[in-house]
Amino acid sequence: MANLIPIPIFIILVMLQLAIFGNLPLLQGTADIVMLALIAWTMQKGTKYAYIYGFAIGTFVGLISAIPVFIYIGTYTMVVFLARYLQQRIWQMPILAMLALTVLGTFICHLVSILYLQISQIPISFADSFLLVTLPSLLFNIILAVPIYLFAVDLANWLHPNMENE
Amino acid sequence: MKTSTPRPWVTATILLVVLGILILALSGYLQTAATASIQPAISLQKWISSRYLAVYDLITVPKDVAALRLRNAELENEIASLQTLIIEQEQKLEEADVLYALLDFAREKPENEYIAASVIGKDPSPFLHYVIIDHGSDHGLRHGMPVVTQHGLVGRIDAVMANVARVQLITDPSSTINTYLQAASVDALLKGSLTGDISIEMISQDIEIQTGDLVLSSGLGGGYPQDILIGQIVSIRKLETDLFQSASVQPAVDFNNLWAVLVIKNFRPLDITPLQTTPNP
Repeated sequence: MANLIPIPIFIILVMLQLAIFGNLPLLQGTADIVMLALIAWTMQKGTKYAYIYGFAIGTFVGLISAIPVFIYIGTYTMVVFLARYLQQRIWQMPILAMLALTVLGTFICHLVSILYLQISQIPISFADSFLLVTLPSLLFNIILAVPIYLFAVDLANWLHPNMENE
Repeated sequence: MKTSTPRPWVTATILLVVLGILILALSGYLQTAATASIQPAISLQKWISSRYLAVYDLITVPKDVAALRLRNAELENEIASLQTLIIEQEQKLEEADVLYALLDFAREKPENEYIAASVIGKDPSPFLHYVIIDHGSDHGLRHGMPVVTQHGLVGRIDAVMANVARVQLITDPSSTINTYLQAASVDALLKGSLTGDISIEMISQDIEIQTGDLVLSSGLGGGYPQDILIGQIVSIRKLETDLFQSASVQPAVDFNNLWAVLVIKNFRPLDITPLQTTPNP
């Protein structure tokens, strides 16, 4: 049951992304709180089925966005994989891991999107995309990474109190 | 000793269940349940969007009463002059109707039917310019229907579900619209961009265009109705070494404050792909 509670939280985060964070651009970049929440939740002890979460959230966001659903499924699953990998190697400095994953996740998601748009012959410049979208989005994501991580820590401790005492 | 189900089996079971649900959904057996389950989420999304709008209005609403009164007076004067212009145009339209009837030339003048919808969100991808509106196929919306406001063209419906729809804005990088420059009486192509700026291209070098010229939809290609205001030219790029000249356009619609739109319900885009010639093998 504890592994099902994050589902409505993720859905609410998607709604906040659509209604609020999508309307707060810096140049053309926006924060991706769904990706940040996915990273933060994956890094918590006791969280199971992280890949299923990545697949489900990627499907949900992909169905809403004009970007094809497989792009979001692939990038969010890749982000979960990196989160699991780094969690095991930088477990003593979780905030640092969170920031590193934020940078990596932002670059991965945006690079895949840019490549897809280029292949689809949509005229966007790689340089403009990086300068006007990716870098501002990265700044937003780094600012929000720590608060979201701390929220995920509290949520994980509430849902899995036994893991805190181990 | 408590034995637990091995994790790979649990994961495989969950994946099989998800796959089964996906197959049922794709087969259409879960349509009713999907619609019923999505509706609360849509209502919550609308609530969140409206709360954000209220906070935004509270922060940005201007406090200077004197400036508002002055602006109100200016707008009332503009309305009066536009009403006079409307009367003149209606008279000319009546004359044109007579001429068209004499020539036995059937021209469609659709009496547009509008459906008002609220914008409840934006596309999660920062590379695209799409918005989500709170009306869908249950309200009569269909793919390709044009979307406007009282100021001008917004875009067209890209995807539809039962109670929501996704609208591609004219500022989207993949958006291409056939346009008509009213002053120069020439057709051009309007394109969006990553930054949200729109520009018209493919204008012949010997055509004289000026800043302030109005850009309207031409109706060519059947994607949009004719004579919908898109914007006006703000800068021109004309180089002798180029084959065509281009110009930047200031859109008539403020896409940064787009909260309500009108969908033209009785306009169906034409599919001209059967008419397009295919290269010989």
